[in-house]
Amino acid sequence: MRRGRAWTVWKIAACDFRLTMREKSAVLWIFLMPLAFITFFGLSFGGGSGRTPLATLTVENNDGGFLSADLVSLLEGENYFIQMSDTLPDGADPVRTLVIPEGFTDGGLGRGKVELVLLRERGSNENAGRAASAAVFRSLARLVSGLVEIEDGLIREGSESIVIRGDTLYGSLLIVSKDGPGMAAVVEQRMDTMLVRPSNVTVRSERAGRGIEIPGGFQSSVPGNLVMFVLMTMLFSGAAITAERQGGLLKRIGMSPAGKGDIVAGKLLGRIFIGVAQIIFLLAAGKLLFRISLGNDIGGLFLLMLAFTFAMGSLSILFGSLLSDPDQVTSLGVITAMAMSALGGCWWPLEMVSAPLRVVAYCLPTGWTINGIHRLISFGMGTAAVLPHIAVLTLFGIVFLAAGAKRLKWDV
Amino acid sequence: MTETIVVKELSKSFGEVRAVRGIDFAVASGEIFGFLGPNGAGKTTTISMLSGLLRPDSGSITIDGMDIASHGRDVRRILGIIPQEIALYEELSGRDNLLFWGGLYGLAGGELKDSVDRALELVELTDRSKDPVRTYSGGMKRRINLCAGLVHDPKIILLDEPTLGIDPQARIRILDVVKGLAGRGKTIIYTTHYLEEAEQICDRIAIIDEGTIHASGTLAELVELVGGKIMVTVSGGFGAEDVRELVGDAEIDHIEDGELRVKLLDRDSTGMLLGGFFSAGLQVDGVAIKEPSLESVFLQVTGRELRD
Amino acid sequence: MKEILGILTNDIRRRLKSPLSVILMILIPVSMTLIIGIVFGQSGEVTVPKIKVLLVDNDGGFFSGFLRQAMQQGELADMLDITEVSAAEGEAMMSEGKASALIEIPQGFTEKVLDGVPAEIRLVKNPSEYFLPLVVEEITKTMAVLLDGGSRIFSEPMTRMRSIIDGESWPSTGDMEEVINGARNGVILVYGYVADSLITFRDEVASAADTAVAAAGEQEDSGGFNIFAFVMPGSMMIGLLFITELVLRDILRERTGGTLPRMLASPVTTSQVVAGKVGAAFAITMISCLILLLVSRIGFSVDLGDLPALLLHTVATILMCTGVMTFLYGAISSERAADAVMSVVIIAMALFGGSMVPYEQMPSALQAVGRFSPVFWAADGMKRIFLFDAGISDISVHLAILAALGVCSLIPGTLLIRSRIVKGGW
Repeated sequence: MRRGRAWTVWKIAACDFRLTMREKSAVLWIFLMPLAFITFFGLSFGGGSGRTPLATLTVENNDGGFLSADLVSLLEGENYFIQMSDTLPDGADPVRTLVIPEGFTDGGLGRGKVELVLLRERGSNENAGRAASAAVFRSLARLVSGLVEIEDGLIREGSESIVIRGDTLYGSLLIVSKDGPGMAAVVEQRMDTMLVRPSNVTVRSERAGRGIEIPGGFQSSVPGNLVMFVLMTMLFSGAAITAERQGGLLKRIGMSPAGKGDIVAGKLLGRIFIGVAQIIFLLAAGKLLFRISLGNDIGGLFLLMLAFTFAMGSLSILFGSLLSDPDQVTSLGVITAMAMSALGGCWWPLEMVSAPLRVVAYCLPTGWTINGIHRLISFGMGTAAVLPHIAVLTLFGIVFLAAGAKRLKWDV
Repeated sequence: MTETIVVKELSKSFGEVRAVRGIDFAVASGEIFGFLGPNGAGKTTTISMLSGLLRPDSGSITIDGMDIASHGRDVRRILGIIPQEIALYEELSGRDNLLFWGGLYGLAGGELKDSVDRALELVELTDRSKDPVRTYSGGMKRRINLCAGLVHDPKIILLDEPTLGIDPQARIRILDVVKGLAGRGKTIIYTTHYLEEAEQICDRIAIIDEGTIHASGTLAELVELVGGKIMVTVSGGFGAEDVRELVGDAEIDHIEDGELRVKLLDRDSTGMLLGGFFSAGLQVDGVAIKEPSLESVFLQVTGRELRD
Repeated sequence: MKEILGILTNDIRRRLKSPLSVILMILIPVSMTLIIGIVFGQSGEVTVPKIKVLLVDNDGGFFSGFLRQAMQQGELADMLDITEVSAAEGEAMMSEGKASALIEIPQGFTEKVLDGVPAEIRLVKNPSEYFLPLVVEEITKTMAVLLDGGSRIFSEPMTRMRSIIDGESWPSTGDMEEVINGARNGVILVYGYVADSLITFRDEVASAADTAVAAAGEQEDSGGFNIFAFVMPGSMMIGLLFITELVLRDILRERTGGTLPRMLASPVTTSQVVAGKVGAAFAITMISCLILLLVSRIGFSVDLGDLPALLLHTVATILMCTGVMTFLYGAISSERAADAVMSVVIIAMALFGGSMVPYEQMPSALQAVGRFSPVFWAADGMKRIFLFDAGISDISVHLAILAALGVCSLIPGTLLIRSRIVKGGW
């Protein structure tokens, strides 16, 4: 009993899948490189911890007084890794440095003018830089608030070294600390007491939706890289079609009972098998290795990625049909993958780009996929929330597939 | 004998290039039909149209009673095609390749496995069947290439230059396989540009050049076309006009100062012609005699020699 | 030498006849740079769009009003697009991702602050966004700190005021004086910091190189920051390494194609063939690099800086690329192995060397690893030339490392390839 068309499609797909999995380089690119990228970018953006990445702040403390020491400890409380500039090895290039001027403590106590400078290296992380700036501001605010409270307390206690007469303040904490033996320690101690008090007004942060509670660097790194690598795997697979054409294999398959439709379907199905293997592997690695959340509807996530694989697999067939040299497909694949990944939101969050570019993102399959992933993982929504995304991706796939099938040539 | 393949007024152009120009031929069941012609003659284009890969611009192809235009898939099921290129997955073993190609023809399970085993035995590659094709020699690759077209036991086999670029020993083995297939009643179309191959295995031969079939028939019929005459070439120090009279009624194929090519009935006529040369005091430097053959037929019908 | 030049020029000619593969490789860094430029603009400054923030005020008191007002004034008004919503509306909108963050001020907030008991502001962040919710979080935390400080400074007069308001009889003049004096003292003490800017904080983008240039008293017009000059060196390295790899792969392909054995059958020695091929890789990569520099200058307005330094750095960089790739090919036996290894090694070097995530933005552990990548020295040196007009002496360490890497890998690499050919391993 001879089998029908479905069998032929299956044979072509299975053969393509098998051929790809035999290639060491393909296996490296499909499975290991994404892991390397996820690890690298995940670590770069905070790793597995759910906290904001612990950025480094170098402090050049030219002061030596207790106020500057208090400032440093306040900054440490702001979730910064504080590195003192005098402990840096030779040649080290600090990314952002807070310069505490000489006489900061005396200036602060004596109500003299002091200026702190936060130097940020060009090209340093913009987000971390802004956050550092805000953190320094908050620490200074707490320090100033403490100073004012000590001054107010001393005034109320009737200190002669700091008084308010009329609308004018006379004296200062500097004078108080020089009043007699031990007074400097009293001021310092009072300041320490102020700073260790818990804040009365606090902010409790949480995330919307029913998705992940504690996002980490890997949480943002896995989806972006998953989409980018599935895209790359699919696009590069177009090279196999051109290579088969060059080797006469495509022509031979075309001479078999398999029709053009069967061949295109088989080639696409083979690519989808590879994409599915990659998706399952990377999602499993994300869950088990990087401990990320996959949302509340894994089925929806799989369907969304399947639709994306279909769209990109179809695009690879179009590439394979249009180009004649495998090297050209690979190079064009790299450029297309980069452009679609970057503009679609795999490289950086789309909220950071201008409104027109956000529109561009929705003209690309990557933009729809990333948005769908956010709905499923970040917001914890269900499949229904990504049905429009799946429909759009399927439409992309149909258009690419129709064009690819139309242009498919048997001969070079 | 029933005609398994009937081709009528078949034409195909690629842009300005007219690759096949209204050819007609028919192949009987169990026959080896040779397509003899140089590279670019239109052989592969014809094979591509016979296999349904290319759609003809005009004309019709009927295979086993089915019009290829309307029954392409059914026709392809009974065709076994052996392309010119080693169109195989070099990374896969010979057996894996055969399992794939057999699968494309709808074979599965035990039937597929048995067919692969039979095909491997046929080309004597059972021992190396598990090795990747890339490790095979040129001749072995040709044999497994042939095998891939036979695994589904096709009724009709189209072989497109199956012995291209291999050593004589490997060629003999392939030709033996083809003869064996014909012995089993397969209808075969065999394209080649090797005259001796066509002479050796084909029941009938079509001489094709520049997209046109110039002559077709059995070897004897083709030789008859050139009158069964021998071709004699005489070279020496004589003028064209000096020898014209000596030739008499014999058919001159070519004449110029210093060279005469003439068709003669037999070797005795050659002796008479040379006698005339000597009597006239004409200088003869060399004499070449070519017996009637496919080569002379080719030369006769196409006006040029088949060099490659 | 004539034979080597012959092989070299033949390879260049072949590439010129069929340049598409190299052109596509050149397009990789160009498109990478272009994309980043399109997204972030030439200045590279991230212009944060107005952030949509939902505000749920369940308190309606003095301090929630203070927060609301503060967020709608001055710079914050330009940054934040505040929409007041009910709690239910807010939750619904946030679950749809219709705002970057929601700030919810709880019922009794003002009262708690006045009483000096902990009060908590709830911030709900959009989980699909990374940067904008962080900005809102920073602002809210800063507000909380200011509110906390203010409430402590004015706690005494405020507490008295409350007891006066809550009291059943009219307040005495003494009570009122105490409240007014307490509040006035606080204002006078804080006023110095606010009006006289006693402690100020300046945030500036600078660099060590800038500081060095300024210290040397050199006046220079650095112009605006050009992100292309920042991105191009790193992305250029990916393209250049792939181009060197592509050209060197020819040795393997020519073996399969038969031209290598044919060459070896001629009077040309194996060493000459290898030298010619490696020389061609150097030359073609150099030509590609010059094209990329030209594109940087003309297409992306990158200031190419000190020319002698740039030329020397380019030569050292290409030497490194050729050396490292030759060495790798010396260790590789087939095109199949090259497929598996080469691109992975190139991507790894580029990744750690700062081609994809700028080196400055990497965590320190990755930065430490990055210094072992040749790409870091090549990209960093070029960045210094482009951005800080570094001269030869400023990048002497980079030049030395690149040249040493180039020579130390080129010599054994060439010998390995030669030995493979001689032994028939190829």
